[in-house]
Amino acid sequence: MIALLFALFALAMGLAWYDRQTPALLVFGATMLMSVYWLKFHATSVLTIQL
Amino acid sequence: MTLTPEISRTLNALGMLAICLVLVLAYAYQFALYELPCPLCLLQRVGFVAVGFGLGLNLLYGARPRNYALMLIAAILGASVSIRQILLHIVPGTGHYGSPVLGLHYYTWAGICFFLIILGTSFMLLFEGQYKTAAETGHGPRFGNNRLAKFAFLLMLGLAVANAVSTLIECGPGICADPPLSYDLIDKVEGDV
Repeated sequence: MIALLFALFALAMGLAWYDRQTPALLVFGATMLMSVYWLKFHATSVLTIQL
Repeated sequence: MTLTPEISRTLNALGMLAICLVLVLAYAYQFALYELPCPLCLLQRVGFVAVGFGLGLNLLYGARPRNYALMLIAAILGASVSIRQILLHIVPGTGHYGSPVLGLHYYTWAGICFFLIILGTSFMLLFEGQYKTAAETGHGPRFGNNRLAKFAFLLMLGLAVANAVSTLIECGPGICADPPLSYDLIDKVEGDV
């Protein structure tokens, strides 16, 4: 699902290219929120540290 | 000292190219040493691309405080991820992830880069002369006829798309393995053949 984050940021840049700044900012904001979700998901998953 | 919109755009383009270089180096390590990026490593790349979005708006339409704010928010997200990964390995004997580059691991370098982005963006916010409108400066709305700015924008867009594809190949459509051992999508395709 992290691939989707890259794709959405690329979409936001594409929207900005075509002067759709409001949709671009909305996509950016939504993707940032999803990034925070995935950070929490991976930061709180079980650790597998090799000692 | 006055920072004109033209100089500001060039500085933003150089910043964008610097971030592109970080992403290219990450790719070089990934493919040359076959070191698959972990989920937190990928999220740090996401942070760099998100910073690139704010820079891209500055390149396209000229510098605005709002765009610098987006860059700061994105850099704080990226720094949070890298600090989390640094803390995972900060206790001696808790191992590390990936090969060191000039004595530091990639996530440590990423943390330093995000710190520098926050510092540089805050510094750029000091100069109000760069916020003139396109009508005042006489430039067109896009890139201000700055070829370096256009090149930097397209390079970052290309790297974002490339990262989307390579991450899909590594993780597949689901949750990324932690730690990743192989390219999941390739394994699935080969398993079906």
